Amino acid sequence: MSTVDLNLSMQSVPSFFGAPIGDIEDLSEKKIAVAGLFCDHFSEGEPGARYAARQLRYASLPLLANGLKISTPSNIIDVGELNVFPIEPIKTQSILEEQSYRIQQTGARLLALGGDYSLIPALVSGQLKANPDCHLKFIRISRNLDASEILDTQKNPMNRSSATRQIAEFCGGARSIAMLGVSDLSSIEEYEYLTDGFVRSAHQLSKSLTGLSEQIVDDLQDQEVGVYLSVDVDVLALPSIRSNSPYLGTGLSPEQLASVISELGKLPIIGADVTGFIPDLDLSGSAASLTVIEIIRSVIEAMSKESALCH
Amino acid sequence: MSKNFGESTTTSATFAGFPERNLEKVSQGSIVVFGAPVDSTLPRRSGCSKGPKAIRQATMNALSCYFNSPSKTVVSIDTGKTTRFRSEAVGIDLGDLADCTEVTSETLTQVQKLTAGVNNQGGLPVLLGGDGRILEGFINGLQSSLPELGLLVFSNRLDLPEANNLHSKALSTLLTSKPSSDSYPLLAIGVNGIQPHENWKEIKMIHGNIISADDIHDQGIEAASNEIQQFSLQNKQILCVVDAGVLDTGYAAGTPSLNVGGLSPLQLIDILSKTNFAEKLVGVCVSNVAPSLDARGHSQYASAEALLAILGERLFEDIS
Repeated sequence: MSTVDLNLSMQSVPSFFGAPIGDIEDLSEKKIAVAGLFCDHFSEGEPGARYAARQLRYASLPLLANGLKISTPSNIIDVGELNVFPIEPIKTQSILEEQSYRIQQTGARLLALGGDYSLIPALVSGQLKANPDCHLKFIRISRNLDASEILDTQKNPMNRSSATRQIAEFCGGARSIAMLGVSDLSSIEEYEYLTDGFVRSAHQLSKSLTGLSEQIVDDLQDQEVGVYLSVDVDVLALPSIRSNSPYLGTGLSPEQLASVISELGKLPIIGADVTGFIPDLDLSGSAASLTVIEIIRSVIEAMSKESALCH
Repeated sequence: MSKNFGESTTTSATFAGFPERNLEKVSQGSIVVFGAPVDSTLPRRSGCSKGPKAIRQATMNALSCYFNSPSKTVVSIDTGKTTRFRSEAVGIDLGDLADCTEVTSETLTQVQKLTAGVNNQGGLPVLLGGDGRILEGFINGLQSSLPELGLLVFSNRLDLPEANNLHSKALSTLLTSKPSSDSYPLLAIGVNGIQPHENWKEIKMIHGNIISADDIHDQGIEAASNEIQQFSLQNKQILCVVDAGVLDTGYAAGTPSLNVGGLSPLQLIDILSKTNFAEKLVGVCVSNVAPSLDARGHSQYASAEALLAILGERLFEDIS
């Protein structure tokens, strides 16, 4: 077969930050498995976040090509989209839990991107199954508490408005929950449910971050602790990003959010997600995607840090 | 339509979950919401015909923290203040005026008749626009029985735009009451950009006042909130108008015209939250919301939150 010398410039297959594309066999300790969540329709909120993972992969390309201050983190592997069953919520819940568990079993840590918060309890459940001896602290950065009473789980197993309460039940109660960047106005029942937890509003966070990580794990100093970090871009203030929960006009700036995540890097993060970003409804298009990419980069850096606190 | 996969947000919403009823059901003291889905005409950008529906949906979203609570109560994490949504508040949604697609003299007459009908039955009319020109019909409908009306307008301009065969009209000319030295019939807040000198002069002639967007940027929202308190003291009946055009285009692009240097949504809502004239309200008009021009939805959310802040204690109760 003859070879033809063609002077062509080829663009690589889009992946998160240009990371190598792999599968579960490629995962090992210290690696971060970045996975997309193509699912946003089982619960309330505007749909569209299912496209976030795809958009974030495409947005990574010009970012890399233009040599902005971002470089491919050496420890991440793009494992594609997690499997879901689009019209079967119970099966979706079960398979997400299983995939989260299997990734965690390899020693790698899961970073799920896209989708909506209703999917996260399944991922956290998988993490807990893989780390039965670890006390899991769940840190959620979001405008909403999402701690409504859990109603009929058979009829409606994936429900964003009660997702935090579901996770609290997995983790041993509200004491295991830290909610950061919460909107000033929150349902009184949800707020009271989280009385034993750690709740800070966006306004409170914007004043000072000193000692935040220490305060979150204050009651767990002598225990084996793992932290799951869940970031929803709805925490960003107007007019940065469109997200899938109602606009309230207050929140954190992208810089403040990145600082909060960086502060949380002192903790041993065993899994994370970034949800709620709706790329196709955003007028500013790629600019918004680049902002979210920066936030994800902060999460990867926080996950890659050696924990300065806890075991 | 329910998607059968769980909770749905795509159902069509009435304002604040009020029942949909007709005019005969209006009772004394009730909040009566209706829409006028009239579009803007050139040179203004079209899209306002979808305004009423978008404002209703945005209002439901803005109230979601209350509706997620079984007791309809929210707590402020920053201040500890506890507020309850008054489920017992009497309100109805009449729906939108039919066959009402552009601003014409017939449209204004329809709005006028409906407004007068609601007012005569003791209801508080709340008009969802629609192009801002519908305000003329709304004011005429109220002034037929309330001649001493005080007009509080949040807008970037001092006139109503021309539409079809209707000429532009200065805000000051909408009021029928005779000016006197102790009256304060008009307060315009958020005015921005070049305005016809005549409009400015006429407002001063009828003893009205103007707080520009620049005044608010320079002196803070107190420049506006203090003036509203003065205005509220001198008027027994207040019609409050929010023209979404008062918002800066960078924050809320969904309006028929552009406004560079306007108010931010937070400034508008802060001003309204720091003032209380709900008892004196005789009508509310929210106009110039064109959702299709704002894919991020900020224009309708900001307008909806402004409307909820205006209705204040009629809808919310401080139970701290």
